[in-house]
Order: sequence, then structure tokens, then C-alpha cells
Amino acid sequence: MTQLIQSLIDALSGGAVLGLAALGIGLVFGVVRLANFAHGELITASAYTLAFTWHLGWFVAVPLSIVSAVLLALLMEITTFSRLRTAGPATLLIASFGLSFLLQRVYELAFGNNVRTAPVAPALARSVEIGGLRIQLLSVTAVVVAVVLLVGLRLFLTRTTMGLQVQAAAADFTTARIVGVRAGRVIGVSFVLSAVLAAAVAFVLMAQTGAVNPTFGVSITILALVGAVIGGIDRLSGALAGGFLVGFASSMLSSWLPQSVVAFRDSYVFAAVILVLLLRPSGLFVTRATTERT
Amino acid sequence: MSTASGSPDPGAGLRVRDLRVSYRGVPAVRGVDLDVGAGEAVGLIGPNGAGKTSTMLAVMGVVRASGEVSVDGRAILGQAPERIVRHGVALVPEGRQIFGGLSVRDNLRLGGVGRRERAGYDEDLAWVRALFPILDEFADRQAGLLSGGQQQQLAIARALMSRPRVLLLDEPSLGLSPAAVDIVFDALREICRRGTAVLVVEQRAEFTVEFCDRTHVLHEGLLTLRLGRQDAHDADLLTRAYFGS
Amino acid sequence: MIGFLRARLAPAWSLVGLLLLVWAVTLVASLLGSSMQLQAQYALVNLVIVVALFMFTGTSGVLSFGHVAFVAVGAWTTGLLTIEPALKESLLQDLFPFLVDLNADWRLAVLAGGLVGGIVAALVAPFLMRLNGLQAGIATFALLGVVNEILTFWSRIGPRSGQSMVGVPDVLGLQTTLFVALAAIVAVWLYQRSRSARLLRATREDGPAAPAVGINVTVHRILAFALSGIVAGVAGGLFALTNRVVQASQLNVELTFVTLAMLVLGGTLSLSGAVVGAIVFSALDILLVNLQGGITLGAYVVSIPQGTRPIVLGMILVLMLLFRPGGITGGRELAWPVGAPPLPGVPVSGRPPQVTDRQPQVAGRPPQVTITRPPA
Repeated sequence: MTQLIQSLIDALSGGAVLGLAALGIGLVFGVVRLANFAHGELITASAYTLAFTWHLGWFVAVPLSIVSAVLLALLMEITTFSRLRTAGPATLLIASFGLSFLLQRVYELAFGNNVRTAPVAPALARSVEIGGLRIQLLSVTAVVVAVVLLVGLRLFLTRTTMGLQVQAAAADFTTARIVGVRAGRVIGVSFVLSAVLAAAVAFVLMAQTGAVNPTFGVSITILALVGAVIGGIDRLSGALAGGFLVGFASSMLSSWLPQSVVAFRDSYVFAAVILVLLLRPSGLFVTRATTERT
Repeated sequence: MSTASGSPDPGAGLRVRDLRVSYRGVPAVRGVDLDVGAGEAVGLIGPNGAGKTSTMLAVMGVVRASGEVSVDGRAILGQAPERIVRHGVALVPEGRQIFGGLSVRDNLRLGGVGRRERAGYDEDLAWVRALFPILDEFADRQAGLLSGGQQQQLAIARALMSRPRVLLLDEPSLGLSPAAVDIVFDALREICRRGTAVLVVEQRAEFTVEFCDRTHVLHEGLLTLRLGRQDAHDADLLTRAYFGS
Repeated sequence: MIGFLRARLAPAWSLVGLLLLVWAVTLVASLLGSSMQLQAQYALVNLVIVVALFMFTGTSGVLSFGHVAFVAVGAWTTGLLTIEPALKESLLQDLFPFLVDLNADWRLAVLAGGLVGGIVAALVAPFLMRLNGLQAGIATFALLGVVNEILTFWSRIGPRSGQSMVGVPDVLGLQTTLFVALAAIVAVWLYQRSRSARLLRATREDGPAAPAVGINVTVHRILAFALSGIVAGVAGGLFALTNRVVQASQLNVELTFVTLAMLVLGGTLSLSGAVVGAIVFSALDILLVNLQGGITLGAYVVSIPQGTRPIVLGMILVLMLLFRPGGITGGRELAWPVGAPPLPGVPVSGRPPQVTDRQPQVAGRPPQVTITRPPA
């Protein structure tokens, strides 16, 4: 019983992290129709910044890690994606794939192939015991960070004019422009938001592992992308829920699969993904009404 | 009859010269000249595929076009839609295209994004609410849940919130009940009275010719005929205008 | 008379020209020493992978991130069939007994690689080919993930996790690799002229229009996927015999990226694009590798820092997408050298219309596009 609850808490935090990553991808996709493989390199950039600046204190390192992700995201948009605005989704996908590969190699050249370690937020590695349950403070932090960011994002999207513009652009880009939404600005905002989410993911992952290498963000991005697509990448709630589900499921699988097959965890997840795509191509959490509207 | 020097304020309103649009090399609009003065309502009718929507989209900057388009004397052709709105052009697109997932209130707020200046926002909002009382009543409702006629009112209201000098409407009566059509066109009359130039694309010839100060027939990308109110009941003329002989 | 000859020869020229090109480039490489010969052999293996990828993606317009899975399966098959049973018994202890005893001539082993690649592709195709666009891309990616994980961790069909299969015999040689690569080009060229491929291309050009005309897209896509799985499996066999070590980590996302980059560089829409892209990318790659090691030019040694190579290659891909999205060939097949007419049945892609926004309609979303036409 306690083991079940413990694994549930772990899965909750795993789901939260992947949900945030998927949401970051979904935000950009909604506005630009770009499934950004290079989102992982934003996470990696943030993680390196944390590793290199943590000794200066968290109040320096955390803001810097956000800034680095934001700057990189804007750089990607300005140098590459903004020039591919008329291209089809396939071209955009390949371009982001190329950018991802390119940035990984740049990290390799700049920081070497080996892991860089840094004790990021060591206080969070502690466990607290509540009623016989050993709960990692880090799991709780992941969930709290996710909830705070989600509430903040929701407030931004619904309460501010800029947020409304992002929603409008995501719903119907052409009409949004006709109404007067400035395309470049809204796209910039969506990249910035996704970079902030990437920085949050980097923080949680760094606190968990304390080590970063050039391909740090790759596997989580692939899982998040997969999650976003099966949840329905067209809608933010769909992307978030899909990411959460994949994270939750894969964490539960690692807790409960027998030792002999636990190595194949991702295969189960991917196989389930293919199944979901077949049954609900436009996403698990997309209702018929919304499919028809778009 | 107006002559070149006869119009009272030559720069005011919308002026279109030799507008051309083509898709994949296939011409859709082949040199259209149009003038819509401030406070005037001008109609554009013609069969499907005549280039009516393309003309609207070209003026709005949604599709690429050549020629000249100016609003109150400022050239706007070739600019992005979001800039053209700020020059005082607003489009009520075909099929309304309101943001169905957002509330009526938020749709109207989005309409205000394209304003050149914030001053007068509250007055405009009050005016629009008076023009379409139903929107006030359903301010918090999700726009996608409104009826077709209500959505059309919202689409026009949203466009008005950018305080346009020129209002373009693409088939505003499409799919609407007769009562809803009345509400929409009464509002259009009111909008003209405020000094806005209105260009309306319609399928319903007789109705449009009667409503507008002037109506042009568009046929295969060219303006083929110009009709006045007095022609509204000349069924023969309208039929010929439509089938292009 | 000349016109008649042209009309007859022009279609064949698109094949003969490509074969001559590959042959000539390989010949030049073979004259530059034994290290260059090995690099050229790797390049030819990649060329076969790219040709397989084109066979599916270029014809159907659906992006595949999954073809390296078939390459991996082919390499695995060939590896298992060609390593000495005694060696297998001592190195791969968990192997199924029948796999330990199974042994075949390397020619047969490469064919078996193609067969297994084709079978795996045919098995998954009915599921994957019902998807479009991004969903299809993600699903093929998931396929690669599953296959790679199974090959990495399932020790009953290979080495224990993280280890590699060694002891693949050194039998292939540059010349044989060249012949197989030329055969693969011929096979794909012939497929491109088949009715099935032409129907599939028609659906690619018009997107949603074709199903309305009554073409069952899915069936032809499945066929294309399965056939290209065979070619990819053969490429895997060649890879095993060239690399002589088979390891799942070498047959994963990075190889997917490199081969996709080659295809994009040359142009996704034509066989010539696939071949030219593979040659140019490989030539550049080899040049950069050698530059990293230092090239002696008379009294000087020219070199570039370690790690520059993948960065340059990545940048070339991104720049190509930005400035010449149709690739080097722009979707055209190799032209008959003296003012040939466009080849019948081969799409000569024109530039799409100049539209300031995504779609001429105001209404709604742009349709789900699975087409990789060069944008304006």
C-alpha cells in the first residue's frame, strides 16, 4: 500500500515535468504550427546555466537559466523559424530536427561530451516522512512548480490582452491578424513562454540528477512531443494532459514492471502511443465538436 | 452622375485602382477599380468565383495583389493585415470567423487590438453595445455557442472595435434568418451614418442593390456593370448582370 | 528524328545518368587510397538508406523518421547470419539456440536483411499508414524507439545491453557495395515508374483531392513502405558488413538525422535529389573529417578544430531549408544534357503561388499538409 502511494507520488511528479515540457511544445505549435524538436535544447541550455552559475546562489542562477532559455528560443525563431513561415509542417519539423542536432553539437564543442555536475538545490533531495511514507521533497517541488506555472499561464492567457491575442492566434492565425494581432509579437511571446516552461523543466531535472550533458533534453523532448501529439497538440489542455499521461505512465511502469522487462519501458509507452494515434488521430482529449470547428 | 472632379472629398474612404490577384498563375481579380466614400455603402455582387472574396482579402492584405489601394489617401497595398487594420480597414470575413472558444467579451476586446489609439475605446464599446444589445446580454457566453445571427453581430461588433474608416463585409447575410438580416443591415445603415465607408459583398442581388448607394457587378474578375438603387426592381437587368451578357 | 530519340532516351537518362554519376564518384574515391575507399563504402551504405527513404517519403509525401529501424533490423539479421557460430556462442550467451547455429553466406545474409526489414515494415505499415502529417511522423519515430530499445536490451536476439556484436567478416569491399547501391537505385527507379507509385505521387501533389477521385491511398502507401523497408534492410546488411560491428546505438536518431539531412539537401521530391544529396553530403562529410585530422598541402597542414564537422553539416541542412527548400535538385530529375523536355510521369515541381499568408481563404486552419513541396 505505502509502496503504491509512493509510486503514485513519483508518477505525479514525473507527469508534472513531462506535462510542462509538452505544454511548452504545444504553446508554440498552437501559434506557429511547429512541433519543435529543439525544445529540448532550450532545456539543455537552461540546465548548463544552472550548472555553471549555481555557486553564485539560486537567486542568480535561476533567473539566468530562464534568460538563457528565452534568448535561445528567440534566436531560433529569428534566425530560422521566422524565415520558414510559409513552409509546410513537414519542413518545419525537419528544420527543428536539424536545429536540435546542430545545437547538441555546439554544446558538445563548447562544454565537452562528458557530464557537468553541480549540486542544484541539494536541499530538495531530502526526504520527509509523513505517516510512514518517505516522500522526496523533490517530487513535491515538481508538482508545486507545475501547478504554480499552470495557474500563472492561465491567468496570463485569459486576463491580459496579450494572452488573449496568443489564444486568438492559436485558434485561427489568419483571422487573428485581420483583427490586428501582430503576428511577430505573438509568436515571440509564445516562444518566450515555452522557454520559461523549458527552464522550469531544466530546474526540476537538474535538482533530480545534478548532471547535464549535450543530449540532456533530448529524451524528455521526444516523450513530451509524443505526449503532446497523443493528447491533442492543437489545444493547450490536450498537450498538457497528454504529456502528463505519458510521464505518469512511464513512471508507473518503471515502478511496477518486473525487473526482467523494465528496460523495455519506453517500448511499452511508444507502443501505446501508436495505438492511441490509430484510435484517436487528432488526440485523446479532443472532443468531436472541437475537431470539426478547426 | 459623378465625374472625376465631382466627388466632394476625393481622398476620403477607400480607393482601389487596377487591383489584380492570381492564385498559382490563375487570375482571380483582373483589374478592379472601386471607390467607397466616407459614409457610403457600396455593394459588390456576382456569381460564385467572380473574385468578390479575393477582392476583399486583397484589400485586407491577406492575399498578395498588385495595383493601388488607399484609405483616406494613404497607400496600404502590400502591407500585412495587422498593419492595414491600423490604417483603418476592418474585415468581417465570410463565415464570420469569431473566436468560438473565447467569450463574447474577449472577442470584443480582441477587436480593440487593431485600434490606432486607445482613446475613445470606452465610447466605441458603449456604441457597439447599443447597436447590438444581444451582445451585452451574452457578454460572458462562449462565442461558439451563439446562434448564426448573433455570431454575425459579434463579428461586425468586433470589427467596429478597431474604429475602422472602411468596413468590409463578406456575405454578411449568408445563412441568416430574415429577422437577423434586418438587424445586421439596420446596423450597417447606422454605421454608414457615422461616416464609415462600407463595402459589402453579397449574393442576393436585388436586396443589395436596394440597400447600397451603388452596386458593382463583378464577373470573372472584372467589374462589368454599375447599378443604382433605381435598378433594384429591374429583374431583367439583374439577371443579365449575373450571367454576364 | 532527334526529337524521337530524345523522347525515347530522356526517361532512361534519368537512370543511366545517376548510375554513371555514382560510379564515377566511387571510382575517383577508390583512387585516393585505402582509407578513402572505406569512407566511400560507408557513403554508399548511406546512399542506399537515403534512396530507401526517398522511395517512401518522396513518393508518398509522408515524413518517416522510422526507416533507420529497418536498417537496424537488416544489420542485425546480417550480423547474426555471418558471425561464426563458435564466436556467437562465446560472445552472445543469451542468444536463442537456433540463432547460434544459423549461418549463411554473406550474400544471402544481406538478402535476408532486406527480407526481414521488408517483413517488419510490412507488419507495421497497415497501422502506421493510416496516419497523416505530424501524427505519422510521431508514430514512425515511436517505431524507431521501440525497435531500437528491443535491439538494445533483448539479449536473446543479440548482445547484452549496451554491448555490440563483433566478428562480422570482412568480405564486402568497395566494388560489391557499389554494385548493390547501383542495383538499389535501379530498383527504386523502376518502382517510381510503376502504376502504384504514380498513383501515390498523384495523391502527394494534391493532398486531399486524390481520395475523392477514388484512389485508395492507404494500400499504395503500405506497398511503398514495405518495399522501401526491403531496401532499407539491404542497406542495414551492407552497414553490418562495412562497419563489422553491429550496435544499436549506431542505428538510432543520429543516423536518422544524417540520412534525412542528405535527402533534404538533395531534394525530397526526386530520386536524383536523394542520390545527389547523399553524394554531396558524404563528400563534404569526408572532407571535414579529413580536415579535422589535418590535410597536408605541400609544406602546410590545414586543419579545423575537432567537433566542427557535425556543426557544419547541421548548419548546411538548416541553411538549405531556409534558402533552397527544394534541395539541390529542386525536385527535378537529372535532365537529358542537351535541352531535354521534362520527363513524362516525373513531377517537375514549380514554385507555389506567392501568397502573403498561409492560405488564400480567411476561414480556419490551413489543411493538414503532408507535402514537402518547396515553399515560396
